[in-house]
Amino acid sequence: MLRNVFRLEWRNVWRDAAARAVVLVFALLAGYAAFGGSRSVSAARDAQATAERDEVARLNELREQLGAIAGGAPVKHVADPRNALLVGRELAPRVAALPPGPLAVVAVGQRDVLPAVIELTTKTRRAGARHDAGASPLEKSNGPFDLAFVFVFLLPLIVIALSYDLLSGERERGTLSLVLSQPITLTTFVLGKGLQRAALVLGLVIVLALLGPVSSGAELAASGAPLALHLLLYLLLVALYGVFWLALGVLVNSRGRSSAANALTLVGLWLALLVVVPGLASVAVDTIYPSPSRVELVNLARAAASDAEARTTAVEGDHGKPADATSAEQAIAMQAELERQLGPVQIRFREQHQRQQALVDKLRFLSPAILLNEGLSDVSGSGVARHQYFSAQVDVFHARLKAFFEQRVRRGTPLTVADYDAMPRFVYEEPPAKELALRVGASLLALVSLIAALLALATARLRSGRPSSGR
Amino acid sequence: MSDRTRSRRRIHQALIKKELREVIRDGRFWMIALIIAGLSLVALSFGLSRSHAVASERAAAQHEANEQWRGQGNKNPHVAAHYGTHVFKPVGALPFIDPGVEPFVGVSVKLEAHRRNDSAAGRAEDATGLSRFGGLSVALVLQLLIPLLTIGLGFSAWTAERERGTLRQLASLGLPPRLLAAGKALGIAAALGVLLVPALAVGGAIIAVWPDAANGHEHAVTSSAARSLAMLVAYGAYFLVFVSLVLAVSAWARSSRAALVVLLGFWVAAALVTPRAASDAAAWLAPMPSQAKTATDIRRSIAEGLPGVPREKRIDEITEKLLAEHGFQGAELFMPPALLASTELQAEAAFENEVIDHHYDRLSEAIERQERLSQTAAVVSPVVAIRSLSMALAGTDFTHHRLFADSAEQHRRALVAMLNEELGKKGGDDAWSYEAGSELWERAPKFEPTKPGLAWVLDNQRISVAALLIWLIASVLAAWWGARRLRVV
Amino acid sequence: MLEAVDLAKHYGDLVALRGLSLTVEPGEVFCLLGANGAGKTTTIQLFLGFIAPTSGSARIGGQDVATHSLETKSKLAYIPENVMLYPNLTGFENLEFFATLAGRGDLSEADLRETLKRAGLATEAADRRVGSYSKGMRQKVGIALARAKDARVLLLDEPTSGLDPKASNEFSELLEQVREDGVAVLMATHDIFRSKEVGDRVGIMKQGELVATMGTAELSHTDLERVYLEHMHE
Repeated sequence: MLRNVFRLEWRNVWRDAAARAVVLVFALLAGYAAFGGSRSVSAARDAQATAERDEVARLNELREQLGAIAGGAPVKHVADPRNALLVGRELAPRVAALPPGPLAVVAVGQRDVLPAVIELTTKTRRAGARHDAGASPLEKSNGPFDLAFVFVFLLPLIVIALSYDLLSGERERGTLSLVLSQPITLTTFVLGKGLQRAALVLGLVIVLALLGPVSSGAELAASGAPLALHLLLYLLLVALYGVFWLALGVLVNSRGRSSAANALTLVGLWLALLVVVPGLASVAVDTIYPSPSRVELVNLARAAASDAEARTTAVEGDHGKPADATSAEQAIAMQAELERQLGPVQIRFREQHQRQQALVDKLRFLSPAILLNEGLSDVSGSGVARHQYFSAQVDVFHARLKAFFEQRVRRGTPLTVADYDAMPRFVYEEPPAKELALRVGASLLALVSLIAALLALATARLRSGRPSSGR
Repeated sequence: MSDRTRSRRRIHQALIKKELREVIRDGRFWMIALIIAGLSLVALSFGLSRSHAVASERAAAQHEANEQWRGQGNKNPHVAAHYGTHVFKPVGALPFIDPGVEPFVGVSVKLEAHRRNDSAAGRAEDATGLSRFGGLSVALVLQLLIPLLTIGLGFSAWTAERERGTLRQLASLGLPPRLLAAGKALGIAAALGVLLVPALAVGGAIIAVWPDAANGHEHAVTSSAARSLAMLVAYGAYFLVFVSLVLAVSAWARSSRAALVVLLGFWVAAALVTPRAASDAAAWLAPMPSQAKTATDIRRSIAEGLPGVPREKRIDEITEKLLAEHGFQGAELFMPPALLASTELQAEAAFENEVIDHHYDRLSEAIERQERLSQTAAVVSPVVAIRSLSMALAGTDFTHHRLFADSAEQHRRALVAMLNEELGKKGGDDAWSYEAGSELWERAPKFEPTKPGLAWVLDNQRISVAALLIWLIASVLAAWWGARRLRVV
Repeated sequence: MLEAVDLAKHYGDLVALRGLSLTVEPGEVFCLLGANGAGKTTTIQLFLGFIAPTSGSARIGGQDVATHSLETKSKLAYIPENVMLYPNLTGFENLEFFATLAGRGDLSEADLRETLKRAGLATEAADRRVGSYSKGMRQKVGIALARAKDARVLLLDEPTSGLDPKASNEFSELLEQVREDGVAVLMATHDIFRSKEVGDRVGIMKQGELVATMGTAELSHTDLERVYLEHMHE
């Protein structure tokens, strides 16, 4: 019985020009998004490679100079490759890069605002200049056109378009009474139709979802993360999200209102779950855990950096005039003092971000759209969580780097090739897959139970409600 | 007043009253209106408190930066130029209405000798994944939700009359169709008014009671009445576009359902897909040079000179010119050493500024090309037009940001020039051991951010304004035409 | 075959149907006459199980519709005033679908086409989309379905209203065949003339009540009209 309804619906949907158009437009948009995604990922990879190449080139140049000096070449005071203090502070900034995640092609996430390349000296830790065009401010404020957008925002609308008149349309066309005069229950009938839509949506979604990874196939292999797991979680997330909206469509249809009323209700729900709830959630996060002020940080950092230091760099760095001689010990002490003053502020930032993210992790259960968005950020490795993981590794690396140079500055002997070889290098490690599986698993579980609840409600409604034929 | 006009007016009133009654007696309208009103209120108060906080934070920071500058102690003027200072961006005119690109750009620029720094200390890095949903702002409510409400109110304006059979009776009264259309338009507009006028009043009252947040701040870009008024007009026109479009589609559609589906489809395409697709495609088709490339180019050009003109040659030329101004052409040996050092520094700075201008002009061109391209999408979506216009009027678009960055750069040059000059004047025989004190720091020019007027804004937004006008005319015509050609049965 | 036992339907204070008792035997055509709102459609919907009775029971082949909804539906066919089919499917595809729903998925394509032909649908029309069908053509698909389903009970709700005289006449002929097959027919109608012609018995309904039942054999058309109007004026 179910199978017959299913088959009928294939024919019905397939012969409906509007439905075909909707599906086609959606596929085109997803295709464009996948194309854009693979463009941006390869740009990001190239940019990172350039930054790393530059780093190697810088170091090689210093080594060559080291060799030249050993061979008797004159020493340039401001760029002495043997001076541990100078090399650590200025001449050899190290690069720590966060490679695009295994499914970065799916979601831009926070990739366009969080720095993927960080330049470290013993003095500073700052975002490296971007080697790719990056997103313009307008692009950032409009939001990227990535697969995540297509799935989070547009997929529900496509599902709504395919399901708003699932039952009401039959009633309005008058076919329902003929159907129900056959030995079939309303629930079976609606279930059959719903299953067909589900098959359509799932088929569509899975094919389109794979567009991204397929279009950037070469990039995928490069990442160390367990690709199969990411891919599986990704497909499950998107598929369940589509089914959620379908279940919502079935539930709305089970109320027995007109198609127009159903469409309005569903769009209203879309608005609530995609605009209102996330908007309010973000207001809540900003209000409960406001980020510390970066503006104040500017002055604070400046106040902390002593005049003496500014004087040294200015005169020494740019004009080659003899500076107030700052001993190595003094420099180290100055740096320590600076860190003592700024450290707590940076910790405040980090802790607040962690609190924010923890709150978002809870608030995501308020709307499946947030669940999917966060989930896609996680599986694509473009989210805040992975970046925080990266950032923590950079901190550890930075400490190592500082210790390395401090030791050599204290030693007081010129740097040698051996020192250059021993210089610490940053190697990024992916967060454990278990963490990802747990986080996304919770989202999947939430989606599944939501769908189950919606369907239970819908079936209860369909069972109790006598299908009036007319109206 | 003649009897005819009087009776016509009476008919008008009856029509509007009828439409308004239909809307107002609909329970759903009130529910939606209440939700939208609540959201606007949350958005407005959040926006106000945010912009208030931001404005006072930046004012305080600017104050402190000025204090740091003044309190830097005795030092050589050029060393002070290296030490530099920070300027902070003033908040826009109406950031609580439309935050625009503000969350994604820097807010302070470090001014120092020899280099133009990018603005920094933006908040984008502090955002959570929720920022991908666009945040909650008054602009969002006005740009997305009100059109949707308009669609909900009016999609069946004509079709329902036909489906109920009341259209036949209306048509048999012999009223001109445009009168009926105007009645319906005014009915929907009145319903929107029921929602918007109180919101405007409440918003106005909050701003009035809390002037600091809106415009009382010395650190704000002029929050001229003109900008607010222009904002009002722009949104008025935007709503009218949607009211007319809704009526036009309702007149052309075969059924209420078809009208609704078409209108919702349009909304999705215009409000959701086009803005993103436009800025994404613009970035693809008119790419900007990367930040690193611009920085490297500038660094290289400063080290080697611009193409065709080697660094040393150009600096010499400028030095000659400056020497001539001082009356020491070809006679620098007789010049006081400090004046010579100062002149050399000036020449170097002038050369660097030329290089910076050269590269930044190219960057600006690229940015403008990209922006024009994405603004052109306004032709297919009125939402793109209003977004762009709204940010611009709020003083929170990228153009305003670039204006700030440019004026900060002008200030940097003036400051560095003044300090270098001072070195020449007071440096005497040994320029580098001369140290100036707080007197000089006090005298240094103050940063006066450019406060662009409405005309400047509208000039930048030519494309958006034109597109909005075209949409307005086309949609009103479509509504009118639709009413004239209405099928009665 | 078709039986109403003290069947009643109330909507709050409104009584749509008041204690209807009625039996229709196999091979019998029973016509329900009455004004709009007299309870004819309510009666049919009760037999279809679309609405639940407030009291009493509607039975088909001895089974209560309310408790054996699927079994009773498999025995009946329903032809509303306007047979509405899926406009994007052809007449044949519609019949195939509904027949399968009705449990006759075993019928071959040839059988189904034959049924459509016997119901009077032109052969070439069977493969056109229903969107282009006239009302009469759709009704023929409805009848073909009733045939294919081998229904023992036929419920008709104003089947001839809006049909042109020729189509209406064809319909009467089809009904005649159905009756010969031993199907019990319950037909709600406004059409006094046609109910006299095709009906074995006629019931007159008023405000939810069956006020009179009579055999058509002993009545002339004018008599029937007179009786009907008398009841309406009371």
